[in-house]
Amino acid sequence: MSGNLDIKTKVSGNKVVVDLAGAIDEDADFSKVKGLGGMDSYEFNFDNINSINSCGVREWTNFVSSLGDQASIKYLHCRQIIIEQINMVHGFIPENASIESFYAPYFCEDLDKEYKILLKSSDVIDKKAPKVACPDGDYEMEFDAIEGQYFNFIK
Amino acid sequence: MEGFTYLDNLFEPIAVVDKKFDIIYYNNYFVTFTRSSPRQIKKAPGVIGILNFTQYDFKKSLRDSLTKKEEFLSPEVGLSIAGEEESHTVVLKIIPISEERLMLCLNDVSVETRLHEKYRSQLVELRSSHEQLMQTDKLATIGQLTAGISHEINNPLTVALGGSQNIEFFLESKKVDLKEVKTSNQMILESLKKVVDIISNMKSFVHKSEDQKEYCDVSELILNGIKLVQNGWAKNNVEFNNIVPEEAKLCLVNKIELEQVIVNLLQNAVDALEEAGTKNPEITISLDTNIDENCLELFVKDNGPGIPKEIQKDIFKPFFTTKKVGKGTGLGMAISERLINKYRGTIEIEESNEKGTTFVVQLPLIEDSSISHNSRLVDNLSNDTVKTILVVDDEPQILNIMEKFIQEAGHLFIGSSGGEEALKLLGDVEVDIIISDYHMPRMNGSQFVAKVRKMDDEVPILFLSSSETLNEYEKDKDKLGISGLIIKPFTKEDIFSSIGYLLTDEEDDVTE
Repeated sequence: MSGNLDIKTKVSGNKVVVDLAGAIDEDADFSKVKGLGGMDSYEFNFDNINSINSCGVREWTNFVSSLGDQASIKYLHCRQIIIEQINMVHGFIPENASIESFYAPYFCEDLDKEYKILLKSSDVIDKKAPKVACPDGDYEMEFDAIEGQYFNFIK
Repeated sequence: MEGFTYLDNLFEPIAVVDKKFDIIYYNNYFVTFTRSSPRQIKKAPGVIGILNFTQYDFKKSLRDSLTKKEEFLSPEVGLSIAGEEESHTVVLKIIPISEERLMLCLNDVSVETRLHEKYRSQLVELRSSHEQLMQTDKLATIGQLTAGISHEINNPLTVALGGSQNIEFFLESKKVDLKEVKTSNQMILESLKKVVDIISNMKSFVHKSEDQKEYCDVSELILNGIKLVQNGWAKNNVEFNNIVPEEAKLCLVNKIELEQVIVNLLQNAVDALEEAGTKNPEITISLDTNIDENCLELFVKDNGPGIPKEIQKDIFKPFFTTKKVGKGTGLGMAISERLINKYRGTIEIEESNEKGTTFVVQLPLIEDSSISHNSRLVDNLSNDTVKTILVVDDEPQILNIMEKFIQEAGHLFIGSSGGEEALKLLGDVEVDIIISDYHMPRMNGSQFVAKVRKMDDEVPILFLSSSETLNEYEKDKDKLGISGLIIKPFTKEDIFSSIGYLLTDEEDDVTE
């Protein structure tokens, strides 16, 4: 545990899988992952990240750039707060990184309920939200954010 | 909304509301910041339903800004955001952009506020830990010195006991010899005085020092330090050379802290000699003014085996020690360095080889340290009523009291310990009044003022001396343009009126 952030790492072959949970803030200490530098690929799972502040963003960009530009980096299960940072902060996702999957906000008018749906980057074409059926009733849901803004990270 | 698209991608939450406070425009970051989707913003009962301020009358500010057509800036206020546990701290700016429209800009200062509070409390914790560490080190040093001190106390107590037994014997004899009784009583008094001295030295050393700087004579502090460690020398037959000059050498420090540094250096030297079993062990302490480098230099030299090169860089690190387990905390040198650095001084190994080690402590001369110390205490230095007053005196008590009085009068005090140092200072700093002692070593008041007059024939100068100096004052008054004499001992009123008189004179000159 480093501050409010819990980091679990799993190494298989030349790949490091990192599960992040909690808050990425000024106390975030990524030395545990830095110690595994020089690997071919890294996968970061943001599924259990519940907050990130501007100091945390700085810690993250410094950390991720320290992994070098040779390794392949993937971001998985990015929460909405992470997507917002990716869209706003240069360097949050370096050139050699890609977003594999992320959550997108949807709203089911029939059930009057909000959902966070896990999408793959490849599901989004021309920065348009893919059609998604309500998990609880098979109704078509509407995308619940500004498409142009939310999918800005997709190149 | 057209007309506002240039705001779409700004990294600040911005919204525009109409006269009913319904949102008619919001930028992308407003959505991100408020965690509200366009759908929620559309459905909300105006901006009041989206921005949920705590303990702040948001509606009133909107109303006032609209009716008065005035910009409005809120203090830092709390803002609750749905789905977030902690509320944000924001500053809200309301700008009327037309008769019926207001633009709202939010500045989120939550991170700054939280970090400020967090680091402030951490700093308080650090300070308190540091104080505890310093105290621990002092207590450890005292522990080391205790054996010697017990011995030192034991001797005079034995003498006092003998004296008391003598008196008892004389009183019991048929014919009381008063002369013998008096001699024995004198013996008791002297012995007890010695004990009181030792204990009071120890007490002041162990006492937690407050962060209070004062002008003090380093030679005197060295003598106090020597008293505390001298038993170690006696035990180990260390020959001690004290070449500290009799003339006062002043600096602006916390007495107890500097004494702690001196004791540390001396004790380390004793320990090094003892552990190495040095033949004919010798410690030399010296103190001098280095006028070129504007500092006092204190040297502590021993003829021990030296500090190996590879560990010289480590000796100022906390918890680093070469002493036997239980003998040192490893904090002494680290704390000493920190204390000396606090006074913008340095402590370092000047030389260390098989012939011995010399530590040198450099402390800024009081001319430099009193400018930086006092500049921070004066409210408005650029104000014309604030005058810079240079006081030249070799007695630390006089400088301390003068500093207090001059500060109270709202002027900038600069202290100087002698003519030579003051002249050097006057080459760089402009002063409004000079108050100089008459009797000073190396250069007396007349000699000093004669040199000042070659540099500046207008600056008002007052002599500060005893009534015995009246003759000298009379001689110098016209010759050197001395404006007055302050007789020691003086009161606050004496100082205030002397300065006041000079300043009124100055104003009259300007008026004329």
